[in-house]
Amino acid sequence: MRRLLITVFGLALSASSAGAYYHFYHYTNRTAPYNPVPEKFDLSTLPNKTVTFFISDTAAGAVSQSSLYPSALSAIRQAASSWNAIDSSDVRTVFGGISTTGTPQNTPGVDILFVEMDPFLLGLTATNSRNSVSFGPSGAFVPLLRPTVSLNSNLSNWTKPSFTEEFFLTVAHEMGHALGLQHTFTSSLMSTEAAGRATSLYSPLTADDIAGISFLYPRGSFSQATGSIAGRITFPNGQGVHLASVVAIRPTGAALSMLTDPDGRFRIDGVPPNQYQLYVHPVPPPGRAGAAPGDLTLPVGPDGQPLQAAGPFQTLFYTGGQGTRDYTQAQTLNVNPGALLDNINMTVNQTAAYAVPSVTTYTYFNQTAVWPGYLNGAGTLVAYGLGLTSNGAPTPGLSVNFLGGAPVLAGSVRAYSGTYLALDLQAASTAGASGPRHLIFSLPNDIFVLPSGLNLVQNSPPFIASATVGFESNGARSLALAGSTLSSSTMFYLDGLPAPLLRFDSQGRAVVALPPGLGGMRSVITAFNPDGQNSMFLESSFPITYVYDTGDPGVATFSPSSLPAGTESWVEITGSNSNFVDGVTMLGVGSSDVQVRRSWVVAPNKIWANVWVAPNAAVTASLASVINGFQVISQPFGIQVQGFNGGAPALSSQVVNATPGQTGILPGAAVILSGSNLSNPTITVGGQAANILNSTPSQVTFQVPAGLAAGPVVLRFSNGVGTAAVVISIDAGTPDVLNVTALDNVRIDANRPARPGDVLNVLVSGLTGAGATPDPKLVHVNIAGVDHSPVGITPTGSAHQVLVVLSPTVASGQATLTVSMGGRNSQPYYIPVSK
Amino acid sequence: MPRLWMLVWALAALIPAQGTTLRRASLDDLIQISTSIVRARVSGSFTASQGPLNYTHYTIQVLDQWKGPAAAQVDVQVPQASGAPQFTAGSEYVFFLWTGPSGANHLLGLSQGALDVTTDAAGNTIVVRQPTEALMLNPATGATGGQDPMQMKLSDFASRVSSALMGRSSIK
Repeated sequence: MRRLLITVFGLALSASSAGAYYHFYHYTNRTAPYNPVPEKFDLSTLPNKTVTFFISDTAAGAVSQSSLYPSALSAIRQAASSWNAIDSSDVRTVFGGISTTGTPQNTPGVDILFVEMDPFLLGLTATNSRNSVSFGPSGAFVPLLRPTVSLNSNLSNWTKPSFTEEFFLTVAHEMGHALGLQHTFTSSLMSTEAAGRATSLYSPLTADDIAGISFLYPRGSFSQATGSIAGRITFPNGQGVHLASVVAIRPTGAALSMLTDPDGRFRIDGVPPNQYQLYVHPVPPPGRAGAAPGDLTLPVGPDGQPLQAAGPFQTLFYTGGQGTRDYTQAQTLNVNPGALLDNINMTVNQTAAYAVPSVTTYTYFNQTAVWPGYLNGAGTLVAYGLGLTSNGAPTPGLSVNFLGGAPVLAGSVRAYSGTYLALDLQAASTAGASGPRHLIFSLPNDIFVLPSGLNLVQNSPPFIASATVGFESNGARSLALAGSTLSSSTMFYLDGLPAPLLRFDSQGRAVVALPPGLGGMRSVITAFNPDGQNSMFLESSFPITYVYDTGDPGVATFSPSSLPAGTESWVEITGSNSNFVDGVTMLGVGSSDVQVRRSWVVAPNKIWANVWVAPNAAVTASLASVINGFQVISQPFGIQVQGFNGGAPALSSQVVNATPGQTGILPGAAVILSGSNLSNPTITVGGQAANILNSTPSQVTFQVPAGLAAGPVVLRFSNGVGTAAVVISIDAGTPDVLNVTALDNVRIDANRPARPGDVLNVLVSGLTGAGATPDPKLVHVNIAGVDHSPVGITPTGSAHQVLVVLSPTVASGQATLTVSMGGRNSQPYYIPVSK
Repeated sequence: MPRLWMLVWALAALIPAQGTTLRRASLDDLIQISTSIVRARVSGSFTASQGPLNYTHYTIQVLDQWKGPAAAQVDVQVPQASGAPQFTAGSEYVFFLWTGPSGANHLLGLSQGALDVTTDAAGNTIVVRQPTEALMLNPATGATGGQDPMQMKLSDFASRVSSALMGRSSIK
């Protein structure tokens, strides 16, 4: 559908209040009611609604520590994956590999570069939006075309206990900007203050981040499944307060925020149904005159001029009438699905200065400072913020409390090294509790609320004591990691690359797979736990490392190396001296006009991929890359885009089962191939001729040859004028549960019944072809009627090990266990359960 | 040809929206990590692109120098980003500068790397650090920093810089 494109200036739109969280806004008028128009990608211009992030080919030479370059690539890949995995967001995100700066391309995307920056500036994103307005299903927007993320080229500037985590979070934060998100003040990933982001590599996004991206790119039942809060913030004279931050907060849970429009109006959409309290606070002051408060990019009016923020005012909780600084008097708001709580209005008093501009909290693990603080039992939380101390003592009248009541102070607050506050917290009050806790710093005339300033945990940080090299049955090397607080939920990394957990051995050591490496390379091993703690809390000064003795990226060839625009094609990549690993090795083509739809490692030195080229792709050559753990192969001009051949067939690799109610692509099944120029078809699949059942120029129904083994096969198509080929994946038959063991490799039976919380290792055949790893989201393990999502899936021979944690809701007795994937269900397998 | 600062604001509509990740710096951090600390007057500015980034380049005339190689005039580049300061031609500031491997002079930590120079009611020349966000512990050691002043006499500031630098030297 042709989009309407008009200029910002002079545009008249229907009135609405400001959107939630905060985005890069353009206002189309200068008087109330204001019409906010956010910057965002036009999903209709993106293949599969996917924003592709590329790293510049200049990066390898720009970074200060070349050994960390592959870790940077891995962090970018994982950060893109973080924004890709949000069910309520319609935008998909993916890392596209390495690109040559200046490559002509017509599809929007994001470029990532490493540039020289001062040591305190870690990242900077320019949205580079077009100065025009488009219209989409969710309203008007200013299209993002080619944002650029610039990262500090000196990698030693990331100094949080774990480099891997801090660098990853910075990349994910900057990617949020590139997608259209601004800073917020709720300790989310998008928080202004890097030290205040209460997120981790394990859980990078908060509810605020998820709501913010889902508001921009809503998907499915987002608006029906969540609630909204709206109102207006004014000064006593009735004037609206611009850029006041309004926060909906659960006492021991999530915080979501937004900023008011120039008329003081706000609307927080995407609030998960629950009970909340609401407060309003001024955004932190600018570093100096001329800069925007809170490191925000100010919204601009129709003349392109920024709209200034209101000055400081008192922070208040909502009571239903006048606001209050006493959080215990705050009114509880019940947010219901699909419902709007409107007219949540507050009047605030302007102040001459900020009583407390912002606060940062820390806890110490030996000599290592960790922010925001973590606490397991009793301990001391350190807080710093201007206005908290005076003359080496707590500011007179200062008190500190936690929203929700726990934990409690063991005594009064005390000064620490003059300008810091030490909060000594009691252990008893925190027993059994976990998760974020919000602090309230109260002064006689104002308060400061710090969401997630403390994270209560139930365990010590993970610790790795030693690493021992071993060999798996297939000859691959693995590492056995001894230590403490390591579990099946722990994620292990070598520098920035994931090392998947294979099992726990008989000595209780975590055995992990080694990412492909480079001979002589020393990698730091880090463990990350779901509670946000990582092993660098305790051992950043003496980390356990592993030195690769072998490993060489080699070179790769791409065939075919020329692809026509408007097609999807099979490309075979052959490596020399390679050890490609399915699920680890990735292929990239450095142009957003070209997308790698899916790839399969079909041999240690061979990858098959379906590569799509946009119909309007620039006719040019692009750099192609293969990233295999620490091994990086980049081939300039690896893929050449050609003009579309009008008579040649164009195929879609999305072959579907032609029988209603069936989803698998099984040997012997009738399936439908879509595309264009499909008349007079001749098809072979895996080298075997396929029986054509029906054909039109845009669709062919054919029978998959019987006898094909499960896994990827090449479908070749000819229409007598030209040929084309794509890879399709032949599904296995019915999944079959072969065995169920505990993590200690003991079979689950009457002598060793399964217990709630056990990590069960379900050995299943028939999920996918040998060696391939299915998407865990597609695999379901049902035990006694309770759906269990896999926490890990590892290929083993022709079968897969599927790890699940037995739910405490499963009753004692003989339980039925079935495994399903894509509508294919296994026969029942029975396991005894005992509580 | 360099354009005056006033032009920067007029061009704001053409500046792409920016988001940043910034580490907070204490005064001691700024003193230690800077390669140059100067009191200088802004004499002009211009904008220029380097790759995907737009920078405002300020030409400053050095009046006092407490750290770094002597120079009468310095070009300071500031990325056009949220959190970036804007300096007024003719006004004086204290600049904490960092010279990168390329030879370019960067303002340390965007707004954090500049102090206003003004006069108090008693006629003393003072330096003022605007109220800003939380200052951090030394992330490498976990050690705490000292009191960060909101304002102090220029002479006291000079002493503070000198003592901090001497302290570092004595540790070495």
